[in-house]
Amino acid sequence: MSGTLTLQARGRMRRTLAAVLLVALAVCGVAVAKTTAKKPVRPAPAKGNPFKIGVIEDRSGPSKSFSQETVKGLVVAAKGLNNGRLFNLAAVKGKKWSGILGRPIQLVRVDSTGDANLSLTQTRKLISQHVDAIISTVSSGETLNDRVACAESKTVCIGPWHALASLTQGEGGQWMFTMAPTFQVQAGVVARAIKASGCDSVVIVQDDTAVTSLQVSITAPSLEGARVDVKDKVVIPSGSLDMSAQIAKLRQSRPCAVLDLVNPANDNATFLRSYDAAGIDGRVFGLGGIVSSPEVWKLAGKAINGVVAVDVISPNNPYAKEFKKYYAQQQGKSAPYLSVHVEGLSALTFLKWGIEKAKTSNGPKLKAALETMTKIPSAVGHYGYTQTWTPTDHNGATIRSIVVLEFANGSPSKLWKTWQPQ
Amino acid sequence: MPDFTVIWGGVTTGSFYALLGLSYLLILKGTRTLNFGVGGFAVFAAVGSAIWAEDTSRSVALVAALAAGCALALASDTFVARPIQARDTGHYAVVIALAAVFFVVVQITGEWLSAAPVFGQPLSTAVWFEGRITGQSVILVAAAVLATAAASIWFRYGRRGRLLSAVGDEWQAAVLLCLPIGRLRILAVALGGIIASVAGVLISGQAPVNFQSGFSWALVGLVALMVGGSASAWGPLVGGLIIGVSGTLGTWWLGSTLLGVRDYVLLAVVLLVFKFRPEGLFAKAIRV
Repeated sequence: MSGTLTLQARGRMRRTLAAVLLVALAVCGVAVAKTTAKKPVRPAPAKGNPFKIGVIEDRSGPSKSFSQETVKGLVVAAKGLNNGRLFNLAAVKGKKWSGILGRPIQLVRVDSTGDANLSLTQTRKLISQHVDAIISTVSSGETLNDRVACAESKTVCIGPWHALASLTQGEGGQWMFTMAPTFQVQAGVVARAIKASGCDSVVIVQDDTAVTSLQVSITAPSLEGARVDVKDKVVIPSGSLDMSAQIAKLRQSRPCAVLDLVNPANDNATFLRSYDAAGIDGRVFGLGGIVSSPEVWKLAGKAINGVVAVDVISPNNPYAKEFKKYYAQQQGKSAPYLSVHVEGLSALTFLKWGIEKAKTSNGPKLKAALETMTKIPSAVGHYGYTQTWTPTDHNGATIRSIVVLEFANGSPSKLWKTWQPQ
Repeated sequence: MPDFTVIWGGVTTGSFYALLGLSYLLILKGTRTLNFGVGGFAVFAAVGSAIWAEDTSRSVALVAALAAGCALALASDTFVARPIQARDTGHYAVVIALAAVFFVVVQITGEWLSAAPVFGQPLSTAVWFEGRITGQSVILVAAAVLATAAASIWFRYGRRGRLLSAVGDEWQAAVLLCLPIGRLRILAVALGGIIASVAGVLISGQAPVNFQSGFSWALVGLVALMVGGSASAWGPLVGGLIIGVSGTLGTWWLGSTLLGVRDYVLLAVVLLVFKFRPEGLFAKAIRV
């Protein structure tokens, strides 16, 4: 009996010893790995004469929300780059500088108030202050005006989130660079997403502003091209207090899918709440506007859950994740992290890399360098997505820059499992 | 043909405009001028009640919003309208000054309260007909009808209400008769401010509002008064309902093909009324 007990005790002892050894080995392993692992070498903080980057912003006009969020992204990105963080440029080969060429980035901000004429005047003012380049955070309409001054003065101008293809086209677009997927590309993706959901028809719900009408005129042909029939268009006048007529129309149409192109936050929220309350089956799809507008998420409440929308932030992109972490450190954990923030980072890193490649901020030389930027790893889009600009393509975005997200728990937090652009 | 819920939607928005029109009417009777600040008082109360309800109780926020609307109305009259009218610089000067007051109140709302759209807490969360009719919309319609009925009874039977009607109808005669014009003016403006605030608070529980909403509110509330006429307290209610229901029906029939159809319908209604009843549907009967 005692011999059996001794054997059992020995067995237990062996197992305990083995477990202790394993734990000790693991602890030692981690400790050794920590002490010997190569820490990423971060360049010293930027110093010296700063590179001045002009920023046109809208502090009180109709683009205020988008513009101010983009500026937040630019400010955080500039701070990070000046302190030696490289974000998506960490993967690019070559000498690593903090700021630009080791010199700090200084943002020179001017307010357009949402007025296209004042926007042009402010662009000229920035040029007269000898800024090295200009980043526009105002509406596409204003930026169309501003690019005239960019071309006149041979100053590189960048639109971080601007999706209007004509911005970079023609004579006036020669000094303008954009990086976000164009409306056409977005429309193509949403059309394929609708198709992938098993629908071959859609009802477009839109507001009555000129910008949205333009967006619809671009999106509708893309839907038709992808063999998604646009059954009807339902218009929500700006500032609508009641959606009963629109909801009754939708109920009558019995849509398989609804494409939500309502841009004003309050109108969009009213629509989503009314649509949700009406219990209509068709799934709601959206373009970039809805994911960049946390006001809509808040106002729509639970009605926004289940909406499928295109965005440029992938939860799987490590550069976007790194910037998200840094953004949260700077702006607070409760601050929403939006595509325009990452697009702000993209604009600055694009400019940084261009100036470092040209070794000067001289307009024509910088433009030439930017036009030969190839396969730049991007913080936007799917992991592995790279951007390339050429003399004939100043946009540089492809279908892989788009991520299809689904709203859950009140935010666009998860990848849509049904389909993703490849 | 649209179902009744579409009509109800028009009745709801029409009731909101009716309350704004009633606010215009009360202030008009007491001050002889159109106070465009009405849209601003409504939007300040709407945004304020939504914001304050996050930090305090709903009832405290509600009372604070009504008090703020009332105070803004009194301030606009005391510091802007009254001094300009006292100098007798003509009617346009005071109207333009009050339009400026409106812009100031709207900007203050955006700067101090919230530049982002806000959703107020509804007084009722009940829904019927698959969510197409809400308890909040019923309260809004009931408030418009009750406020109008109360104003009508007050103008006809209430001592101060009758005096206010008399002042509104014949200012010079009221001066000669030594009626308490100053006190009646304060009363009318305060009530106008409160009714505009009630409209704002109730609509913010029905749909999200932002400070810029005040622009269309000020305009359409005035149109409700002009269409309905200023001779009766029922005028703004009838005018508001005509605008609300015709706008919703216009959206139902033409909304898919004609952008901005609601504005076209509003214009058509105004033109029709001005053509055939320029004094509004409820005109003053003049006894000779």
